[in-house]
Amino acid sequence: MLEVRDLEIRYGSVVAVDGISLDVKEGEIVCLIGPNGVGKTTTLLSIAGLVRPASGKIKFFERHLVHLRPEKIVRLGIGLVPEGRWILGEMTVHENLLMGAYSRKADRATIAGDIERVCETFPILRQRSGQLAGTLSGGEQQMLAIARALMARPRLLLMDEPSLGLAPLIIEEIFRVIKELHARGTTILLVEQNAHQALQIAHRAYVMEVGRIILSGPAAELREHALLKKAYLGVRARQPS
Amino acid sequence: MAETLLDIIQQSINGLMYGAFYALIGIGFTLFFGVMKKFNLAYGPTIMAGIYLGLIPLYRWKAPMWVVFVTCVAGAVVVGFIVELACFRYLRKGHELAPLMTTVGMLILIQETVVIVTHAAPYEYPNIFGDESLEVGPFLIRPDYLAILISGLVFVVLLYLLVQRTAFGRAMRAIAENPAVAQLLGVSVSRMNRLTFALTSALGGATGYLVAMTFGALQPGIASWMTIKGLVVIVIGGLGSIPGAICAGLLLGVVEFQALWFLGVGYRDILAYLLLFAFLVLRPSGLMGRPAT
Ligand SMILES: Nc1ncnc2c1ncn2[C@@H]1O[C@H](COP(=O)(O)OP(=O)(O)OP(=O)(O)O)[C@@H](O)[C@H]1O
Ligand SMILES: [Mg+2]
Repeated sequence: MLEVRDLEIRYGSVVAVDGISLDVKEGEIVCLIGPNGVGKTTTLLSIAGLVRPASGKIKFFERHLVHLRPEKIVRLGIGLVPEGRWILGEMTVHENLLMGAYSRKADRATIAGDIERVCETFPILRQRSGQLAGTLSGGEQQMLAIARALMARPRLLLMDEPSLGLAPLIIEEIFRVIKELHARGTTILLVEQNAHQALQIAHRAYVMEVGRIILSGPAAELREHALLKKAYLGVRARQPS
Repeated sequence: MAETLLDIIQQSINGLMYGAFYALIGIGFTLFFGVMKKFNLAYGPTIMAGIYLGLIPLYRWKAPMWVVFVTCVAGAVVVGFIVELACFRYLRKGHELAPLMTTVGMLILIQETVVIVTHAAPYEYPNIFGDESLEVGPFLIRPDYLAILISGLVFVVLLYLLVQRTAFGRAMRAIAENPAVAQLLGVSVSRMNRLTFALTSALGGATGYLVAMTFGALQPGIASWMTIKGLVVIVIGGLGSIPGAICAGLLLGVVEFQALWFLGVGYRDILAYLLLFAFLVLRPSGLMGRPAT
């Protein structure tokens, strides 16, 4: 479904992503883990079209994405739940959800139905419908960010650290929702630092280290990998020889 | 004493009516700024060019005034499109100040083109409302001013509905708040730029059609005059605030007309600038803008 090859991304002279390749197949949950500042967000942003890679290929169902604008990419069926949520704080919750469906050519009734559906997943959003999104709590904002991405009915959902800064109970909730979305047929590429939980729900995982992927494989295997066990404890993994 | 009070009220009425025009120019600047985070100093010349283009069917073919109106609007939209193309579209991102230069260049270019074409002679512009004022109690209401106020109200209501209730308006607000998020959700920034230009130019052309009637005779200097009024309004109103632009436009109108009546023609602009400086010193964020962070 998604195929990333030899992706290299620079910010000025800083190389943020240094030739990574990864695949996501339809129906999978794939997670990308790694410590701070290794280029996980940058990778997702380039798939979504917000950052232009210096070189490499990104293919989605045989379509090349590298030179497409973000507004085109979302129409192909890739949704992003950005790091730090990026909700539209000066618009209401309802308007944020409507903006989520902006890319679709659907009639009002269909969209109202979809809003109803995402509100079933996140009942709190129904209660907050007319409230300015900027006044929501962090957890509510995260739910709104996910719900908004779902409004575009993405085939592939990119999620950037959805559990960041949230209380354990809410994190549980978010992971439950990810599993539910997957069960309903959405393919998911999940970036997480919460490696333990991410590896519980993922099928496969990639481990990043300063701009490169150093490890990859089925999540069940990686859970047992010595390098990762160290990383959980905050010890920086060394490049395997 | 009573007479002075009546004068003040009379001039406030005039000022409010005329101020509706200033408010609309201010709203135009606000919309540009909201979507692009840039100033379009060529907005005044765009309106002026629309008005002058409206004169062509009038002078050539003695066309009826509705044709003049349509030409004003269409002409402003075409010129607005040229401004967008020449002054904004191909500028690199991140050069926030570059459009100040390109649009000043455009202002001079359009103004001087009109000077050359018209040999700098003033052109008479018919006033469809005549010069008979309506009497309301002790006050006189100029019908052309009233038309500006009414059209201003209509435009403000339409704009409100557009911005608050439509997908286009939501996309506009999304871009104003966070362009990256807007793009991520499928909003094409370049398309929104073009639509914003079309909208503000059409608005300018339609209002310009009425305002030109209050002048009697047209001369190209109105281009920079309108740009300056727009800038004064957005500073007083607070950058990025449509309600601010409306209040500031009306306030500016009232202050100018008091100055005009009590102090004389020469003081009209001086008082407007005094008001501007007062705001810059005492309340730089304007009536409704957020304090600078
Ligand atoms: N806009 C930018 N300009 C310059 N450098 C940037 C920019 N964004 C990110 N970087 C740099 O690129 C590198 C990768 O950043 P990125 O945000 O992709 O990391 P990350 O893996 O998502 O980290 P985290 O886990 O902290 O979110 C970092 O060294 C960062 O400093
Ligand atoms: Mg990140």
